[in-house]
Amino acid sequence: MHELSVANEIINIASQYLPDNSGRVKIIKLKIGTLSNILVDSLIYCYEAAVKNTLLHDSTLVIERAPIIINCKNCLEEILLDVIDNVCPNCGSIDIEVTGGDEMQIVEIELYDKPEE
Amino acid sequence: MSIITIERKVLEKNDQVAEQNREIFRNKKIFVINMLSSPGSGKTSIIEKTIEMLTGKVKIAVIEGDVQTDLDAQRISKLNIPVIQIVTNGACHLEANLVRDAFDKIQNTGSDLLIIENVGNLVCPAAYDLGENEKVVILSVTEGDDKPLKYPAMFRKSDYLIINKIDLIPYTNCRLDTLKSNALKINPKLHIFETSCTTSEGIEEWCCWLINKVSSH
Ligand SMILES: Nc1nc2c(ncn2[C@@H]2O[C@H](COP(=O)(O)OP(=O)(O)OP(=O)(O)O)[C@@H](O)[C@H]2O)c(=O)[nH]1
Ligand SMILES: [Mg+2]
Ligand SMILES: [Zn+2]
Repeated sequence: MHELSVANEIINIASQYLPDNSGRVKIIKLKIGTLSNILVDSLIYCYEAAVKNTLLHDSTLVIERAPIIINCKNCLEEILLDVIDNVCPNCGSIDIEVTGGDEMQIVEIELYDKPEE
Repeated sequence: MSIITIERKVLEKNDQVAEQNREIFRNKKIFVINMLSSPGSGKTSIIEKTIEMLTGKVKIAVIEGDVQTDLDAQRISKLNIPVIQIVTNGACHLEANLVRDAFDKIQNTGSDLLIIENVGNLVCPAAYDLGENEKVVILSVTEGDDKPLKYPAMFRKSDYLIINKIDLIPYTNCRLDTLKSNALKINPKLHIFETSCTTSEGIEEWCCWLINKVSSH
């Protein structure tokens, strides 16, 4: 539900990477965990609205989903999951710790090629 | 083609301000809890009960977060407690900078417990650290015993759960043992309180926990 605030933070951070007046941001690559409660479609929609009239207006978001990572305290396996059932799929133990999957990260920024002088 | 690898957290600014808040709270020796729940679970009622029970024992200050109105702050100020209302104007969660600005106004009240009532929402506030010592999630029995499974983030990020409105159990199909086992499935470390603001059942145990936390802090 807070995709608009997230979009604004992305714009704030990405704006710091505008090299000079001629440089323009083409793609912002994000990694969004399955457990982050972010709706990707809604984030893109909010981003497109928020980015208008900023220096990033012709940039697009590319979103990579990050899997859920659990560590099982019983069988000591680290397992990547798309959905979590709160039991270890390996041994069935419920003594698991969720160690990843709620991240919201800007991974990289791609700039447009500069026009030939 | 020019690619810059940055690997920065989208909410890093909030996290930084939350760390600054934590430092401010530490310097002021104030214990801070962030109360999280869906609308109407009884956050304000529990705060009122807590103030009643702890008057003369713990000096409490309150920050209220709501989408609109200062109704909750009005309820608290009737109890002669320093309270600041944050109106988010639509935003579904409190952010660390709003809490910093609000605390600024009550930092010299000599309080040793700050209770932050977050915006009623069981999803979004989980992503925003405010600098609190503990997150406390509240779930009322009328919401149903499946909620921890359906809204797991909040239960995973909190160490404490208050199950409120237990006086209403006879009128609902909520099963307390199912609710608890669902919550513990999501977070085996959860410490669970059971309260009713109508009968005051369980409020004392909750307040004892608070007193201990505040005094050992
Ligand atoms: N029966 C019963 N009613 C309760 C209890 N606790 C709160 N209520 C009632 O539930 C309603 C909502 O309580 P609030 O304390 O305003 O809930 P809240 O979580 O602060 O609500 P928001 O701030 O709007 O999200 C009120 O009518 C309370 O009187 C309880 O333990 N038992
Ligand atoms: Mg309230
Ligand atoms: Zn296992």
